[in-house]
Amino acid sequence: MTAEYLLRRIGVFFLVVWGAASFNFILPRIADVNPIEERMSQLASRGAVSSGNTEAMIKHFEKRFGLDKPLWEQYVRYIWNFARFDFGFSIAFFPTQVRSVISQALPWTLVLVTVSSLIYMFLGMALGALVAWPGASRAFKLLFPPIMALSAIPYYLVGIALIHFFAFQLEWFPLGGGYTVGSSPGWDFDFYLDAAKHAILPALAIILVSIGFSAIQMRGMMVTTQGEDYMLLAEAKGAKSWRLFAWYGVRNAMLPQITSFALTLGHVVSGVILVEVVFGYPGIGTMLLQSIRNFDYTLLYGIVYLVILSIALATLILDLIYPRLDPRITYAPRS
Amino acid sequence: MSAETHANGGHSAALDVNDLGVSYYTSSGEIKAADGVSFSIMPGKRMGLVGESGSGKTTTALALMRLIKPPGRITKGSAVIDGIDLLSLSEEEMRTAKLSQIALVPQGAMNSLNPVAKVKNQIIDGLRDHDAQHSASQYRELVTELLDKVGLNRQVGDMYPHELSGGMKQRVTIAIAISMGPKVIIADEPTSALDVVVQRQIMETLAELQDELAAAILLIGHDIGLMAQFVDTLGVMYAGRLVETGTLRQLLSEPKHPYTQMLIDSLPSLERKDRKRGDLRGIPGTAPSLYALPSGCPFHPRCPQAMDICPSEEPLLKVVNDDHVANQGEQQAACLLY
Amino acid sequence: MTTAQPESQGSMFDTTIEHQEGSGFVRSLLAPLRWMRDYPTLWAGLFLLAFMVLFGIVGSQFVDPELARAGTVEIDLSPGQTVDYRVKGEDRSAFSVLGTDSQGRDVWAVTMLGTPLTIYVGFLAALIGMTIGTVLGFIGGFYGGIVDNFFKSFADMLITVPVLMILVVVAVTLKSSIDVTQQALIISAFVWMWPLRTIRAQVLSMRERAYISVAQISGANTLEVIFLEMLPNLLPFLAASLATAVATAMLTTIGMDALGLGPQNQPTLGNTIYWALFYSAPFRGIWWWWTPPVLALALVFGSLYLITAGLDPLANPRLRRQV
Repeated sequence: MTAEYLLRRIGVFFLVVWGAASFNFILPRIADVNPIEERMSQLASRGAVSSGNTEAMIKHFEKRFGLDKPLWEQYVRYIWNFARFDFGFSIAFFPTQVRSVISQALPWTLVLVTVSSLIYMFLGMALGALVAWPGASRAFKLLFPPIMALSAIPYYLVGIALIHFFAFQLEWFPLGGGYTVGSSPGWDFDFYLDAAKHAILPALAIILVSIGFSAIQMRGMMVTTQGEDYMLLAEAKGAKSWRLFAWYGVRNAMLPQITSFALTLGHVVSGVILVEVVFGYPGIGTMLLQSIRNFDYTLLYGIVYLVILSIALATLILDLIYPRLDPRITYAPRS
Repeated sequence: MSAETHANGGHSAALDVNDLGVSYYTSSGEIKAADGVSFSIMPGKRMGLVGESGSGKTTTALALMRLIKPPGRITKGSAVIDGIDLLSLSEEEMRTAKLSQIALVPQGAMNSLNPVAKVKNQIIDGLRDHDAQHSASQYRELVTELLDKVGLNRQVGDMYPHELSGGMKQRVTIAIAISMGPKVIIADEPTSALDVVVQRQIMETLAELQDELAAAILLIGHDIGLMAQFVDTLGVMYAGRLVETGTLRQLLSEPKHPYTQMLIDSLPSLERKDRKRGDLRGIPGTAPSLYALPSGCPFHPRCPQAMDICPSEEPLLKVVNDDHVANQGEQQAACLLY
Repeated sequence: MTTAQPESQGSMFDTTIEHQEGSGFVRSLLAPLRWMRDYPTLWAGLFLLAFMVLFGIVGSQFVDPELARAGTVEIDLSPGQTVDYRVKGEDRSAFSVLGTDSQGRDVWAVTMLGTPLTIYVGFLAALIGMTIGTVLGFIGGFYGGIVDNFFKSFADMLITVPVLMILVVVAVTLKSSIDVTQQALIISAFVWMWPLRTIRAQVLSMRERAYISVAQISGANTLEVIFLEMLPNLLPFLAASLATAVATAMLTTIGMDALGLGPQNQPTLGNTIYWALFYSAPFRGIWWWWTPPVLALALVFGSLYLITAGLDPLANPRLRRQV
């Protein structure tokens, strides 16, 4: 584990990002699809074409993609634009920039993913650790099977059930959306409270399902740490049992959680996107569904590229902070 | 057996173990990993406990620390330090007794330290949990002092275990063991993973510190050669029982139990202080499975001097001193020959 | 749940075991029972999965496929009513156990036909992905080198990428309608990574172990070593990998379906959920529309989970011993 690793790791990050951008460039050309024509014919079939707008659009896109230029030049231009997060205009919301459409949706998803991930990691690790700890209450052992059963079911299916029981029948929570329609998204306390109320059920769907993944891994690791020599010595020291649990058990058992969180993040985000679709939550997922329904290729490619980039970035950051949590791992050459 | 052991132990012993039994309860029944183990160690003395793996020596060590885990259980006996029986203390009382009365230098020092904590914190946290109220700077001084005693630089306190060599790690575990000046130190094969030169150094450090504390040491091991250089008395374990005890000289020159005799015979010359290790592997036959112990004397299937009575009667420890070494103390063996 | 100990679960079988001592014939008859006693989780999972497959296959024989077509029956009927519909000028009627949806389909018929379709996509994609992953894992574990390095790195990279995103781009761009088999083929391209990692790691560790070296020295060729020495030992891992791969593939297929990118005009469970969401069924309280597909999926996912969990003590014996 040296600086060489660091360079390679950053190299992998750029490779993923470059791959994601290239994929978006190559696929339509292999499939021989022209996004603009697709969209035009779709609009025409709805009889909803305002000719002035269409002219401007076609002109813009031809110029933008340089369709008269050689292929390699188109490619370089394309990659260069993506590298600068310049995805051009949204086809459906012309003349709004894809970037500004996405930037409206991104905070919603970011907050939802981050908050629910932190909560499920904490609860999952706590549950898994307590189930494996001989001194803990048996209640945790009873809690374990239902949590594990839930973990087998996709987030959004749990989400649908949550909507039915807690929003439709009991009316404890609003029926989907990110904020009450009609309230203006101002950044004041009332709006935050309203947004939080809307976010509880989607977050709960993610948390309920994910706790199990975290808990079962934690349980396995806690069992392992109890067989370790350092646990025996700590006990021989007469350390108090909370210290054995927290500093010798949990502190060591939680390390693989970081790695597996990084590995499953892509999976989590895919699930969150569908949760948003179920709840009509105004984040990236709902935006993605709209772009699919509208054949808004520029928006779609922009979203996909940004999601892949965000996950690659998060994974990179997790990899880089890991040595701070496990002193045995170091990427710097030892003096 | 108990009457005789008590006569030997007396009241001034640092550790007096009497009729200790440990069993593991598995689906195939009860396994007696240690049965009727009795011995005592005087303050400032060092006793060695040798035996093949599975003979119950580590089980005995863990039982004295009350570290036997389910499905294992201490079934009987007592272990008295200062008039207090460790085996009848409550969990919390035992926790306090650890480190202050009895401390462990563990087997396998390679993994005995928490990989994610600095050495100094691992020394301190044992003290903290014994309500040692010190300021941060006092703790720092204490750590430096302890590290110095075991021959380590004060910088080691700020290092992580993976940055230390095996010998250094073992020294840290010794520093932890002596941090509250215990009356008894149990060293469970403390040097088994180390090379010969380091082994000697560590043992010397341990011996020096023990002299300073006037503590008693119970040294567990399978290497009689290494042990012979450090211990005053020796106990030999076989199949969970103590089969012979006595002074080092008694056991080396006049072993009574046929098993001990074979052990001693299998050693390379002890007088030559060369690097040959006196491992216990040169004895014909295999150690019996604790699942199915032979009846009577468990050693009889391997014993060259076995008699007709051996499979049917279980021998108890009894005094077997020869007259001309009687002044050295009692020698006991559990063998029907005597 | 994973580490259920045989001792604690076996009391009701104890008498059976004593009887076995007598006769070899009886013992061989009871062998599967002992297996069930030792691995109750695994068996529960297998039974549940078999039940769901049979339920769909047998059940779909008794369902009029016309009822799974949009616009066949009256819409939004709650469960337990008789519905009338016309096929080719012929008047028919049926008892609608689970009611009808907002597009005039019978929910029972849709669920019956959809369950085997969705399981089929999951299994086909997983089997292809598993085969690719296992072959690459063996090649990598055995020969190493550049090829191994390439696929290992590629798999590591692809694992962190949200596969659903890639599939969305593919499906939207190709835009031609796909059927369930084509969908399975596309998905299979993204489920080989975990099997590759698992198998490769196992092959590497096995290659170091003594019995493989002995076999190699004694002149067995590589294929013999793989099929006679290694494969039998890898079975628990392969089975666990397959169960996980099926779950992943199913998750992906219903994810695509729920975004409206699934096979058109086929009543997969994912498509049913898509339409239920499209017509805001959860918000309108039309619970009988989404409950059956969600429940069917939950049972299938649950059975796969039980299988994986039940194989865990076989694949990772250490955990079993310690808990």
